[in-house]
Parts: sequence; structure tokens; C-alpha cells
Amino acid sequence: MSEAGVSTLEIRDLRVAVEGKEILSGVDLTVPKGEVHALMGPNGAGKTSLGYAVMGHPKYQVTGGDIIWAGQSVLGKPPEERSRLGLFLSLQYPTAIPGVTTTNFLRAALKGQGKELPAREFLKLIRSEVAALKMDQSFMSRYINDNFSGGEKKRMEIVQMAILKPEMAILDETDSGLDVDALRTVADGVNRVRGDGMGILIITHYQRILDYITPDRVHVMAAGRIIASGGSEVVAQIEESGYDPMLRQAGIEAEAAASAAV
Amino acid sequence: MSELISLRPMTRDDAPLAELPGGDPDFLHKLRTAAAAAYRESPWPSSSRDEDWRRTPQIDKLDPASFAAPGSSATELPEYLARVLEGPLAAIGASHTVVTDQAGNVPTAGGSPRGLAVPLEEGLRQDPERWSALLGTIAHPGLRKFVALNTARLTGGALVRVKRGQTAESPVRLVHGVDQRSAAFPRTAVLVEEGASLTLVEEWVSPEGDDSLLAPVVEVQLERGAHLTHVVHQRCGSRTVVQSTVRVKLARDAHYDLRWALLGGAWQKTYFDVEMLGEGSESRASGLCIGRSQQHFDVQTLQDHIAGGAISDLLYRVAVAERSRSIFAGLIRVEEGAQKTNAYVQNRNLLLSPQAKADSNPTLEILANDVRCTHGSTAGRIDDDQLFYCESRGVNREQARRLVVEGFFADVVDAFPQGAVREAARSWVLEALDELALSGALAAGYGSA
Repeated sequence: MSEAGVSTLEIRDLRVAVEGKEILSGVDLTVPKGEVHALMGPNGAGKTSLGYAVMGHPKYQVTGGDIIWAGQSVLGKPPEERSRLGLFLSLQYPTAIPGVTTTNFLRAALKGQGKELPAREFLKLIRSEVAALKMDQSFMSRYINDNFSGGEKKRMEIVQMAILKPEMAILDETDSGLDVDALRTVADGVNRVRGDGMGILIITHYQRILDYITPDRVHVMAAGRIIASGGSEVVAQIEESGYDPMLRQAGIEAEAAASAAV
Repeated sequence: MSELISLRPMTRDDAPLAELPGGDPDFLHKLRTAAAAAYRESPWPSSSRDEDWRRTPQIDKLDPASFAAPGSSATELPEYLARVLEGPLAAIGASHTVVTDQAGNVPTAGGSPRGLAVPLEEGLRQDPERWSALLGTIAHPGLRKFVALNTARLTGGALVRVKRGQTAESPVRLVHGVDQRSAAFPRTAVLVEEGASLTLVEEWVSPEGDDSLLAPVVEVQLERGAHLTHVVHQRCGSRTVVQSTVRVKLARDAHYDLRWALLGGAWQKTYFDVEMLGEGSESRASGLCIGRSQQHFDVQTLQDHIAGGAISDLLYRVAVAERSRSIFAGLIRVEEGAQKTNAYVQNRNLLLSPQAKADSNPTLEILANDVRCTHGSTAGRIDDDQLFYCESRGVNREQARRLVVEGFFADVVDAFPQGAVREAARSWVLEALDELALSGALAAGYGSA
């Protein structure tokens, strides 16, 4: 498995509908392993939907195009299989599962991925990752995401990423709701795994997190498709004059940019 | 005289008096006579006439007379009871173990006939005055059809007493079994005297196989400041009908902790009643039920606040799979003058298949004006987002559903007494989930319940 395309996430002309309503209208995006890409865009552009579609949430129905990871289409594969193939989605609003401790959840996840560890090593691993994200050890015995603050949930997503070691991660607004210190901690966490040659797609509203994690490419999404791609100069452009000039150039009314998505 | 009566065959409308293997003391014979009369005079429960039975039409066809006569007690422990005795609860280190089946008390190795828990007949012989003052007074024959039947037909049971100020360090264990084609009516009376405390662990069991009826009655008196932790584990075979009443009276500052797990049987009607008779008394109940196949669990609870300033809290979690069904009716009654009552009842149901059903009806009946009472109930299927979250981290669908269901019961399991009992409770849940997984009941997908 050494041909080009291996360990690359290729999204080709992807169309996705939720309850019959189209929210992605032909997305083309390629993220090779080892690169960090940023996906920006106004609210409701379809960024979160793209993440869910890649991970296989049943609510997001692919009506056209393809999602190819490491040379093969993942369409029709359940989320757990996509996870085992090395994909990871850090949720914008991580789900709480009352009654299931963080430790048990992670044990089940590792087991599901065939990466089960002896009890001692396992505990050592989560202890060290929890500490790396500057979280208290008590989180290990708390119910996963249950009554966690927004910032704690985001950190726990990064803890999980560090433990599961995916090859390609989509981080959906992992920066939102974090204060500067937490942001730096999360960014450090991301930069650590980035060094291992992971591919990362950072979905964000703001350039803030990109001050800590420098992207190789930046894509702008609106009205369910990619309207611009470039280097970090795109971030500066958005910083300076917002999305409006890009939207106009793409022939999208500002209101329409958001109207397509949920 | 009583021998003559017991030769008469039983019918559904007539419960001839049974007798303890060594004969009844006089008070018991009188109590049975009254119970048999109460039984005859009350009509058989009807799902069309009786609100209590409206959702359990199985009652219409039940006939206690269809089961074999009890016969004599086995001299050797039947295999299914031996298995239960060696089960997870063997690890609790019970100081006393009392075992019954359809014939009466079953002798167990090393069981001490003296001390704080004794076989019913033994206890009545040792202390007739005390027990005659209690037996049949809390769960009196007129209370319910099956309490009357139990009273007329009982042949064994347990009498448990903790003396004033004493703390029983080790739990007492009761095992009530019924064999195939039989009906058993075990009776338990518990007296926890002033300031005393005890943990009582009960198992209701039967072997897999033919039809049977297990109809236990438990009556409990908690004196001032007494404390009882009461665990009830029902794990009968799949063709056993369970008809039970547990009724508890709490005096001032008494404290009752009830934990129940209903897992087996064909169908079940179970009453848990607490009577808050003393100010400052406190009752906290947590129960769980896991249904599968065509099992039917009908649980009715009463939190009766007679005195003011008492607290009662009840949480019942149910997961129903396949075509199983749960019925819950929980009543908080606050009697006139029972001010400063604090009472809560909630029932949470998880539907694991589109054919499974849960009816939930918590109600409040409040005759005082300065109280805090709330009730809540929910029924829903496993949350799709929780499933997706697990799956997106590599957990397969069946394991994800297992994880979420196990989590659903976590607070109830964690409410069981710490140590061996809690570990046993956890193992019951896991075992039930294993069985569900085996039959494919956990494999269903999103949006399909």
C-alpha cells in the first residue's frame, strides 16, 4: 500500500442531506496525512456536517460524491469501522453518557479498535494523557462528559485522540469555549500528535487557534461547498475583511451562505 | 380439625388452610382461618374491573390451584437451590441463611436455628408471643388477595429480629425458592428494634423448566431509630409467576433502604409499600428491572406518609427488550396533617426494541399543605448521539448499546451496599446484558429502538 492516495482523506464532490434537505452541495477537499488543514467559514456553512458525514453519522445521508480514506471509499461503513481505519472526529459538543466512566469508555474504545492494553499500562496511559491536558485525575472515574464544562469536554476529546492515535483527525471547533490557557494546552496536545505524522483538519470560526497550530492549507466553506483555498494568507484575509468579499466572489449572498445548513 | 380441612382440594375461589410441618400454633391457625375467609370473600382480581390489575391481564387466567400440592420438604437441598447458595451472594459472608421452598423450610448445612434469623416454625416455637404480635399485622390478610393466600397457605419462612441497640455486622440471607409445577408461599417477618441495624439480602428463585408460582410476603417493623438495608433479587426461571408483597412500617427516625433487582420469571406483580409512621423516618428505594422475551413486570409502590417530617425517595430503572413489558404505578400518599413531608418517586424506562413497552404512572395524593413532593417518569430508546459517540471511537454497535444500558443502571447498582452485594448486583446486570446480546437484542441499529 504505497501508491499515492494512501493515508490521504479525499472528499470528492460530496453531497449530503439531512432529512431530505441538502446541506453539502459538492464538497471537494483533500487532506494528506502529515498535514494540518484549516476549514473556516461563516456559521451554518456546513463545516460540522462535513465532519459528521466523514465519520458516518446516520443522520447525515450522502446523496452524491465520495469520501475516500487511504485509497478506499468509507461510504456505507459504520462509524466504528471508520474509527478503526484511523479516522477521528472531535465533536463540537461532545456527548455525555451518564453512568459510563471515562476509564470504561476509553477501555471499550481501545478494545473496539483492537488496541487493548494490559490493565496497568492502560491506566498509566490515560493517567499521563489526562495530566498532559492539565485535567484532574478524578476525570477518569467521572461519567464521560457528564457535567463537564465546555472546556473540559474539549480537552477530553484531545485526551481521547492522544490515546486512540488516529491517522486523520477532524477537530470541530475544538477551540470554541476555551480560554487562552486552555487553548494553548489543547494546541500543545494537537502539536504533539501532529509530530507523529497525523493528518488534521481543524474546523474553526476564528483564527485564534491557528496562532498556535500553523496550518499547511486553509479552506473556506460557504453554502455547503468550498469557495476558496490557499495558504495562511487566507486567514489574514478573513481576519482583515471577513468572509463577505470571498462570498461575493463566489456569487453567494451573505444570507444564503448560511441558509443551506442546519 | 385442621387436617380435615387441608384434605379438601384447593380451588381458585377457595384456599384451604395449610399447616406448618410440625403443626400450627393456635394464633397462626386463627390467622389462617381469617385469611381463608378474606380470600373466599374477595373476588379473584380482574384486569377489566380492578385498576391495580388493568395492565396485567395474565391475572385473569392464573389459577393457584393448578399447581401441585406441596409434598414434604426435601431432605437434601435441591440442585437449583444449591446453585443459588453458591452464587455471587455467597461472598457476602452472611451470619445466617434461611432457605425455603414449596414444602417449607429447607435445612441447610451449618445453618444455626438460633440467633437473629431463624426458620419460621422454629421462631414461632421459641418466641410465640413476640411473633404473634407481629405476623399478619403489617401485611394483614385483608390487604390483598395474594397476602390472604400466602397467610392461608404458608408452610415456611423466616423470622428475623435484631435486638435493641445491636448492629448486625454481617448480613442475613434468605433464599425463597419454588420447584417446577409447585406453588410456594414463604412468609418473612422482620423486627429491627430501637436503634438496631441490619442488612437483609433476599433471593427469589426457581429452576428453569415448568410452570410455578412464588408468592412471598415480607412484613417489616422498624422501631425508633432502627435501620434496615433490604436487598431483593428476583431471578426465577422463565415460567414462574411471582406475586409478592413487601410492606414496611417505620417508626420515628427509622431508616429503610430498599434495593431491588427483578430479572427473571414469566410475569410478576410486586408491591413495595412503606408506611412512614414516625417523624424523621426515611425510606430510600432504588430498583432495577431488565426484561426480555415476553416477560412482564408489574410493580406497584406506595410511599404512605402518615406522620409528618419524613422523607421517602424512590427511583426505579427499567430496560425492556424484545417483547417484554414493564408496568409501574408509584403512589405517594400524604395523609392529613403529615406536614413537612419530603417525597419523591421516579421511574426511568429504556426501550430496547420497538415491541417492548413500558407504562409508567407515578401519582401524588396529598392531603397536607406544607409538603414537597415530586414525581417523574421517562421512557425512551437509546439516544442515537450516545451510540454515534461510542461508535465514532471504535466501539461496535452492540458493545455501544451495552455500554449505554450498563451506564443507565449505574446509579442504581451503585446504591446497593458496597462490597460483595454491589458486585453481585453488577454481575446480574452484566449477565442480563450477556443474555440480551446472545439473543441479538442489542444489535438493533439507529432509530430502530
